[in-house]
Order: sequence, then structure tokens, then C-alpha cells
Amino acid sequence: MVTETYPTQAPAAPATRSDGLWSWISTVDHKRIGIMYLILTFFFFLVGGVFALVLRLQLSGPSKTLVSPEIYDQIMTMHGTTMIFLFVVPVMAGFGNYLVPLQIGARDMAFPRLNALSFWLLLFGGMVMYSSFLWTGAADAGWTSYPPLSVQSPGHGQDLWIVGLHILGISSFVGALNFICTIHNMRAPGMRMSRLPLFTWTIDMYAFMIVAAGPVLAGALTMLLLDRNYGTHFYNPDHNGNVLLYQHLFWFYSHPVVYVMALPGFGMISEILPVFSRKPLFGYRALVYSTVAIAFLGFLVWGHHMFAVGFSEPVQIWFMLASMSIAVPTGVKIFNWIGTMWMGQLRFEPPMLFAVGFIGLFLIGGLSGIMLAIYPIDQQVTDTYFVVAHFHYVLGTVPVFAVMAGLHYWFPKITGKMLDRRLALQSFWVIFIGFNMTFFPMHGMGLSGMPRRIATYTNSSWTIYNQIATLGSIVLAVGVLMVMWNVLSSLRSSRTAPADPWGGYSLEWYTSSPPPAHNFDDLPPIRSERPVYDLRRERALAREGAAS
Amino acid sequence: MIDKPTATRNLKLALVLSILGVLIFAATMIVGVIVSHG
Repeated sequence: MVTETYPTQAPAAPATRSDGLWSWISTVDHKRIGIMYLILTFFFFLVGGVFALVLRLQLSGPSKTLVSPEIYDQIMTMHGTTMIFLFVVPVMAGFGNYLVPLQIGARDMAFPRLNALSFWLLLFGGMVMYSSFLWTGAADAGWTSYPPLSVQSPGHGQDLWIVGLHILGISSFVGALNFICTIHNMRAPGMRMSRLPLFTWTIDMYAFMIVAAGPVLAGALTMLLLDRNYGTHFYNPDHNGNVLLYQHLFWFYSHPVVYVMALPGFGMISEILPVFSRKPLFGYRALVYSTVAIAFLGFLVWGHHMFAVGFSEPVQIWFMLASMSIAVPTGVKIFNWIGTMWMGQLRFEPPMLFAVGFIGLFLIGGLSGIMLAIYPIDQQVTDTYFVVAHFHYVLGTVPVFAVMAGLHYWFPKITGKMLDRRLALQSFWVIFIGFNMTFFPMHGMGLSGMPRRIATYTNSSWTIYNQIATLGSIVLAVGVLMVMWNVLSSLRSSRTAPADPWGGYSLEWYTSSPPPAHNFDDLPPIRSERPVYDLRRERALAREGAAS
Repeated sequence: MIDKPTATRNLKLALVLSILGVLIFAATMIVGVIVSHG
């Protein structure tokens, strides 16, 4: 543990700050809102994980009857919806809320009250969605909710799903406005855009993508709600509607959302690797440009989710080439991360292990992504478990490895306590083994023809894959629970964190752990994207000069 | 407290982005109407 001290060592909780429940409910402090986001989204993560375990147990053997097909469809729909809309997207807003003002040297977000509104809308949207279980059953048309299935779905579960998503959409849109205004207008003197920490850069792109793509989903969902309840026929071909319109609009939003989820994960990795390699980030500018390139290209490739609908040959080729082109900036990132570690003094602390694990596993998802971008291959495996394997290696690695890396890295800053290192290392390996046991066999399931979204099967050749995956999901759940236990027990421990336990590079490490309400007493000179690293280096040089 | 010029810049930027969002939503609905009734 590094124990460097800086001028700002203000008390963690000034006497004027209340810790009562109402003070949390009514807070507009970006750090408290960030913490509430993290608590709520990790709660949703556990709920989504329980849904996943039910699915895996149901599929652990042929002809299982743990849940009925109707319940299976509801749980499958709510698993995907929970993980994407209630966990991975908003957990990044949680980290962003806590870290962006600190990383840019600001006192708070641009609109603190709007910030609180974003959080409470997230809670409200989740409650609206889950309330459907109490009424006529939850939505059951999958997280993509394609018509005609979603139009014909009985009861009001699908309606509550649509309304809930609208509320979540407003929450993320308002939050995105706040991030953009904060990052572009509230930076400390010297913190130019060309000196932004990578995590803040990725939150900026996250926010722009939400602003540009979110309203398209809102439009698609509004038309779906109108078709279901008010007699319109936007998606009904019998009345001159177009059933593919929804898919185009949905994926125009949802493919960028893949990068809305992934880019902040990339940002976390870009923060962690240099600190634990004891080197500056290799290729800062290349990483920034590749982030912007991925955000832009993400809007051009939605059709690769729809190869099976029968596009003309030139359209298929366009979407294939555009999708494959994203491998270029993604490859730049992986090259730069390896370059950062190359010849570094590597310290395999828990955040570093999760970060390196993320790179390796995300690469597997990226490679299967290139395979799926080739439309003749996609047409062979579309709607099979091969696709499920791919997107869990891409999107599952973000929460399970990148977010966990971020959690282990920033936990001391957020709470003022150190996690149990030994338990953290053990939980990494349990999660790593469980993740691969769960999702790697799904490639085999898919290639041997097992369709996704089936509640049961009779083909016994799929059984061994499913048994390994189910066992893996239990191992993965144990690993996640170990992390949760580590978090809860460490909060009550005596392992107090110093301001900068890792020897961090960006401004959040300059203030106390946890930071005071006003964040900073003063700021160091900002001459690069790593002001705290620069300060430490100047001090070391000064010490050397004095010694000689 | 944020100084007034920064607050004004924040409000202007938020307003521009909100208008952009509304326009994208409206454009999506218009596309829907044209495709299904055109």
C-alpha cells in the first residue's frame, strides 16, 4: 500500500454534515448520489443474477420442470432487462457520479438536483417494471421485445415494461445532460479536454451516445405502447405497418448501448492498468481517439443484429464491413493496454487481476463478434446459444470484470476502508473460473444447434454443455457473493484507507478517503492527464536533488 | 456555488441537448408514421 500524503487531507465528514436517513434521501451531493446508485444497481445485479440461476437450473438437463414455460419467458425477459437497463448502464452512472467531479477537480455536478432526480427515477422505473410480477405477470417477449410477440403479449406486464423503460430512459437522458455539462463546463483550471482522465472521457462519450440514441428507443417504445393499447398499427403488416421497423429502431439504440456499457468499462481499465504497472498510460491520445471512433461507429452497425431478416446483398456487406471496422479502434485499445503493461513493474493487486482478466475475456467476445459480423456465419448461428456466449463475453465481462476492477480500485476512496486483499484475490479466481465454466460451453451449445430462449429441450447431446454451464453459474454466484461479503465486512473493519493507497494518477487520489463534502481544499498543478503522478514525480526528483 | 457565467453556459448546453433529444424523438415518430402509413 502506498502512503504518500498530499495537502488536502480534510476530515471525511465535517461536523455540519448529517448522516441520518433523511440526509441521504434529500442529498444532492454527487458522491452520496453516486453511492446510492452503486448500492441500488448492485441490488439489481443480485436480482438479475437470481433470475439467471433459475434459468440455468431449468436448463441443467433435458425436460426439466422447475418453472413453467410461461414463467421461464418472464424470468428470461427480466434477466436481460435487469442486467442491461437496471445494472450495467446505470452502474456506470454511479461510478461517473462519484468520480467525474473528482477527476476534473470540480465541486459537484453541473445540476445537483437533476442528478438526484436521475437516481430517484432509476428506482421508480425499476419498481414499475418489477411491479408487473405482482399483477398479471412480467413482460415475456425477451429483453428485445420484438413485435408481433410484444404486441400480442397478454396482460399488462409488457405495458409496465414499456412505461418502466420510458422512466429509465428519462433518468439516463437527464443524467447524460448533467455529465456533458459537468465535463465541458466545470473543469478545474488546467484540466483541458486533452488532459481528461480516460474514465471521464468514456463517461463523456457514454453521455453523448445516450442523448443521441435514447430518444430513438423512446420513439420505438411509444409506438409499441400505442399499438398495444390504442389501436395503431405501426408494426402490424396486416394494416400497412412494418414489423421490421421496430427492429431497426430498437437496434439503432441498442447497438450504441453496447458501447454505452463497454466504454466506461474500458475507461476503468485505462485508469487501473498504468497505476499497477507503475508507468504512464501508453498512447493516451490513441485511446481517446479510439473511444470517440467506437462511439461514432457504434451508430452505423445496427443491421448486424438483423442479418436473418433478409437484407439485400449490398446492405449485408455494408453492415458486415462496418461492424468489422469496430475491431480496429478496439484493437488499438487492447494494443495500448498491453503497451502500458509492457516492461512495467506489475503489481497483481485485486483491481489489476480483474482488469487483466477483463482484457483476456473481452478479447474472446470480440473475436466471436468478428465471426458474427460475417453474415454467412451469422445466418448459420443466429438465435443460437453461440450468440448468447458472444454477448456474455462482451457485455458480461464489463460488469463481472471491469466493474469489479473499478469497485476494488475505488472502494478505498469511496468508503475510507480497504477491502480484505486475500478474500478479493480468492473471489477473483472463483469468478474467473465460474464465468468461463458458465459461458464458454455456450459456444458449443450454439454450434450444435441449441436455440436461445427455449424453456426446455430434449436433445441429450446438449446436456453436458448445460450441466457445465449450470455448475459454472453456481460457482460464479459464489464468487459474486464473496465480493459482496468482502464489501460489507470491510465497511466494519479497522483497515482504514489512506488518501492514495495505490499510488494513483488522477485527481481523486489527491483528496482524503472518503473526500470531504467540498471535495478539495486545493488542487495540484494540472499539466497532464495524471496530475497526482506528476506531483509525486516532482517530489521524488526534489528529494533526489536534495540528497545529492 | 457555481459562478453565473458557468451556470449560464450549463443552462445553454443543457437546453441545446434537450432540444436535440426532442427532435430525435420527433423524427423517430415521423419515420414510424411514414413507414406505416406512407
